[in-house]
Amino acid sequence: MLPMVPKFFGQYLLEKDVLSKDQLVKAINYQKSKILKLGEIAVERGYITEKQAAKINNEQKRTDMRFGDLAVNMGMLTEEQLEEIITIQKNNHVYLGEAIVACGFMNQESVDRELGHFKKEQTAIPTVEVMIEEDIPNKSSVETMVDLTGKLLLRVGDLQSKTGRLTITQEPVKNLGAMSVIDFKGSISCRYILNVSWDVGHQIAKRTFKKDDLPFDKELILDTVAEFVNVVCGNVRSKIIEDGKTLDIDPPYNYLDDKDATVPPRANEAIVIVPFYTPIGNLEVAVGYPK
Amino acid sequence: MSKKVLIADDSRVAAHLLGEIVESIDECEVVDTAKSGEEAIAFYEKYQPDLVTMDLSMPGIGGMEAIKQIMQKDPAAKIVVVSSLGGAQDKLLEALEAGALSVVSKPFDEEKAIGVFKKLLGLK
Repeated sequence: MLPMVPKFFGQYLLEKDVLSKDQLVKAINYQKSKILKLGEIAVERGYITEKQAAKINNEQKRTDMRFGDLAVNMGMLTEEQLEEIITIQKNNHVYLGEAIVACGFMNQESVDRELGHFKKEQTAIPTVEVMIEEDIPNKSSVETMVDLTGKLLLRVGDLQSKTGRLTITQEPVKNLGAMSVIDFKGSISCRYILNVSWDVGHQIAKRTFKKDDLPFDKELILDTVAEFVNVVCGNVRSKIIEDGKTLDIDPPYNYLDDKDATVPPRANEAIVIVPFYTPIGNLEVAVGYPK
Repeated sequence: MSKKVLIADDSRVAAHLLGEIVESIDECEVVDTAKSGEEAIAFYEKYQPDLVTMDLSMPGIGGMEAIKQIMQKDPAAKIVVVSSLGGAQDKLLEALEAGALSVVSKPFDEEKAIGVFKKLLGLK
């Protein structure tokens, strides 16, 4: 079985046609209606008043920050109180399967059976050894980017890879051949740069088009690498927002195709570079983030 | 008469692959490829396709807004989201509520994609 990319249970059911579009929408909305709001929990626990909760909500509209972070910033909640109310919220979370049963769309037995198949499909995803021991900002997000890059190299490019030790630099990133970049905006502000040798890029293109004799065409390879980066980052976003973060991405842009050129860091940007080694060539995942 | 499919994807690689999948289905043809949300709306009006495959992350107004505007003009439009963003619950819910009928996430599984397209086009 090909290693799959992460997807959520609802999409699995929709794709499999065991749940209709309207049923899925209703079940997700039911699930959302049952989520206890952090503000309500904080008021119930006596940590803030309703008036304070309203003030934080108003401020939230202006700043686009999450309620909990804002409450801590405004000095209305301590870090410990926030952690406690987040735990209460998580413990009261209604799972999609429970929502589907509550809405009467499937019975528990069918949900359990489908969930079993879904989990089996998801656990078929091999883990990539991510060696990030250093203390860097947004470490778990960088690990997700590295992990999904490795999985998709295998899934899309049929390339086994191993990661090496990361470096953190404020120097320009040297181009290995083809580079494509995507900016992340929201809870995490960073940019993902995929820097591949032409051999690796050519292999990704060959497997993408399922043509072993695909001619070596730099423009086509760049476009394929850009699409690969688009797929990696879309999946990274899906994974990261599971933790309640907000995140958006723009379409990828090809940085350059001149072998001697480099990608300079932006002002106040540090770049984490994780090398990948494959049997046919090397590549790097570089993540630039504000210092 | 063959079914007309409009592909909206700014990546020529993804559009090419989707085109091959669509044209592997009997009685299906790709009428054009839109590279932005605005183009998707304009091409929808021009071709009145039987199905639109819509990427979400595109230049201009993007795919989500294009779905909303197409659905406003033609509530019977059949749109399937084909996007790397489709695996996330928030985007999927927004697209379905906007009127999309299904979602195929990237990288796509050809067989599953064909199954979804055929079902939406009423083909066996």
